[in-house]
Amino acid sequence: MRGETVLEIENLSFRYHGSKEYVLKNINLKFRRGEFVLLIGPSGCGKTTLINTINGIIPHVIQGLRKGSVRILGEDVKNLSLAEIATHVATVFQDPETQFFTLSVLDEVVFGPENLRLPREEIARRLEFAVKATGIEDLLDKDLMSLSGGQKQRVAIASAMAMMPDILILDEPTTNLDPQGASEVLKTIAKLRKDTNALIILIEHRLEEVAKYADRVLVMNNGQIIADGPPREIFGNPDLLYSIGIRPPWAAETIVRLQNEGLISSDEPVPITPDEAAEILIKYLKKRKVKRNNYAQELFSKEVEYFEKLRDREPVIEIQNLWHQYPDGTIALRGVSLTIYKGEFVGIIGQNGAGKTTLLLHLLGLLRPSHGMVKIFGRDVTKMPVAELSQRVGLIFQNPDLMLFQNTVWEEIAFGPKNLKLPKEEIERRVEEALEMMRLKGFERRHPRALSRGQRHRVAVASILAMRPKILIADEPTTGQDYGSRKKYLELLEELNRKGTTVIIVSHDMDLIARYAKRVVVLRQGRVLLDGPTRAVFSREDILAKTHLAPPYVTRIGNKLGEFGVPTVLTVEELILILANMLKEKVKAE
Amino acid sequence: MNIKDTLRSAWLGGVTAPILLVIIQFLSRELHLARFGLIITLYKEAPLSVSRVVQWLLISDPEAASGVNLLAVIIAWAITWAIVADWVKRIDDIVLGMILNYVIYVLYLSWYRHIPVKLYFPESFYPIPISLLAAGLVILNYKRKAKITFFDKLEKVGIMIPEKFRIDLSIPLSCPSCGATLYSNSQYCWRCGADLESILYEKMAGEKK
Repeated sequence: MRGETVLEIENLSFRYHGSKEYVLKNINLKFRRGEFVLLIGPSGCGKTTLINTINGIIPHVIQGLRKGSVRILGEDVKNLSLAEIATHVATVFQDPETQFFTLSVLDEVVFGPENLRLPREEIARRLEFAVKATGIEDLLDKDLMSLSGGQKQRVAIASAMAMMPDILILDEPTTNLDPQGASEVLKTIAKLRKDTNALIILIEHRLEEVAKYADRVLVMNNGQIIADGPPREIFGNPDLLYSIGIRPPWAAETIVRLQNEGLISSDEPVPITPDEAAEILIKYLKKRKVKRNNYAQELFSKEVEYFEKLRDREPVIEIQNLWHQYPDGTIALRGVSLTIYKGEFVGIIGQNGAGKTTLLLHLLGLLRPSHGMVKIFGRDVTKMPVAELSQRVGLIFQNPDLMLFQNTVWEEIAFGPKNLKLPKEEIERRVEEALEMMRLKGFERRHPRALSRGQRHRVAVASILAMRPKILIADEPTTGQDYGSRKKYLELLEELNRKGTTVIIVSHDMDLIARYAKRVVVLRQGRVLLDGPTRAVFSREDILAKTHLAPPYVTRIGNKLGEFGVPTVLTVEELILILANMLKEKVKAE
Repeated sequence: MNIKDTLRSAWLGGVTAPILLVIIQFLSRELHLARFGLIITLYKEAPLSVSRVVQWLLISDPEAASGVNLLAVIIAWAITWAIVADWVKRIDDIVLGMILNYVIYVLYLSWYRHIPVKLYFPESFYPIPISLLAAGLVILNYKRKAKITFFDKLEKVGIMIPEKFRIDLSIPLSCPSCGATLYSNSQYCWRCGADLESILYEKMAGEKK
């Protein structure tokens, strides 16, 4: 029955075995059937621990001290077996492949009900229900391994729904997906919200996309629920969210900030989507008869001038008609010609399979061109010794842990220079410099793996910096991190860029690309689709749509106000500043 | 001529030939080729010395100058220089490398081991033309393969790449529609949105033809 209390958490506290600190602190929550709850909070705040107390992993698999109770339909999970909990709660994690047991979509969806030893007719009924609820009719006869990331995640959700759970938990289901995959999964989630009666708890960093579906938002920080309410109420307080490293939807922030300045009535509801925000803004811009202005021209001209002058700089990467065919016959690059100049900050974007990683591997000399050439500082990469190349190009992996294998931070940073057989004094000088630059002084003797993710990222960057590369490449540097951590990391790269390092980042995170990159290269099917100053690229929504990419939400809000002279904006601060100036001008004139 | 490659080929040839000759001897015993009258007598129940192998390679030992033994030496030389050719890929470096290799072997025997080097005509000279022939064939095959471009290979499997995608562009370019500078062969102009594939690259491919 919709509305009935399905989950009740009372005075819940939890600490892991061997730890003195409580990860969850006195949590009290009630959830109704049919509710769609968005759970947000910075990395490490206890979100995953909380859902693990609901799906029974705590206390049945992970040990620790649990106080209080978690009751599903009145029964404490402590008193239910995992098999019993599985009939009530289904969880979908970040990586769908870790959840698959079979090889085909059909087998996977019916795997859960079969394990419950349900009658054949009931399994068929559940299959039909799950397939309809998630819209995977077209995937049923396919092999799991032939599916894209988004399709795999939809199958994982269907498998969870086939259990007909009372509670469906989705733990960052789009984190590892490209924009197209994420969009497919979010559409499935939207469909579930409409068609099912289960309580859905979603943990997600992409607030723009999911906020509109939520009935309720829970904000968690440091093991506590610090806010609980409808989305418009929660997102109407951007300062609270920023204070814990969470970025509110741009639409809400823009309107709330303008309301705080008295330029928009506080009676206006807090918008969640760009369309809602644009509707409010158009009303005010029209009401005040704001004239067209030349903000756009001023913003563009500086960036265009910078871009046009790049040709006067030294080219550091020259890619000439690069083709690459993998042994299985896949042509990943189809004639890419691209020049990157000294001191640039370039963002490379594109769907999975567009050729981004293949391109990076060529820059590192890890793949040989099938045709064409890659030159680094004027020299053919295939003819450069690895030691020399590693001093010129540094790659930071998506996962810093892949780069950490020494016992102390000092040894980790010294590893590269030692392999270059540099004199002891030079090694020490470089390590000290990298420690200083990455603010890691005092951590020299610590074990790299014992540090926080942000610190591990800094150690990974420091180990690359000690090699003094002229070019720094970061592959998906911010996946799975909250806004605060992502921002700090990109600010670090920006600082290095200011000091002269050429920085190339490959990312699906349009917000961060828009904020930090000065040039954007869009790849599609192994070719360059578009390449230009960041603002110019994001103003071309029509061309980006050809590869299923879209500019950041804040840019989309600005683009909807183009008829009033609002230019393509790249950050929320820019949008607010421009709108405030436009609305203030008119207020003064009145 | 590349002095580095000459030294490389002399070094590789000098090391590979003795190893191959010993392997051929070993195989003939293991495969019981004696049943067919193919007896190689390099190894005679005593520790096999390097100088004996080198003597055989120079066919300075009368035993090596006849029958199956001579055939084994010629095969060792031919395979050795085919391997060297596959690595070095230039016939002048290979010829010079081979001469250097001979000189080193002769010096090793006469100057270092004080063993007189006797040559038998024409047997001692058989390996030279045959090794050069083997190396030449390897290089010819390499050159024939090198002429096949990536696009030819694609065509062979039915993938046709239009001419406009094959041209090597000189970056930066200018958009023919608005004059914006382009630092890549992007499909669209960042400033005016012009479809560069049909107006710029098509034209350049046509001019190249």
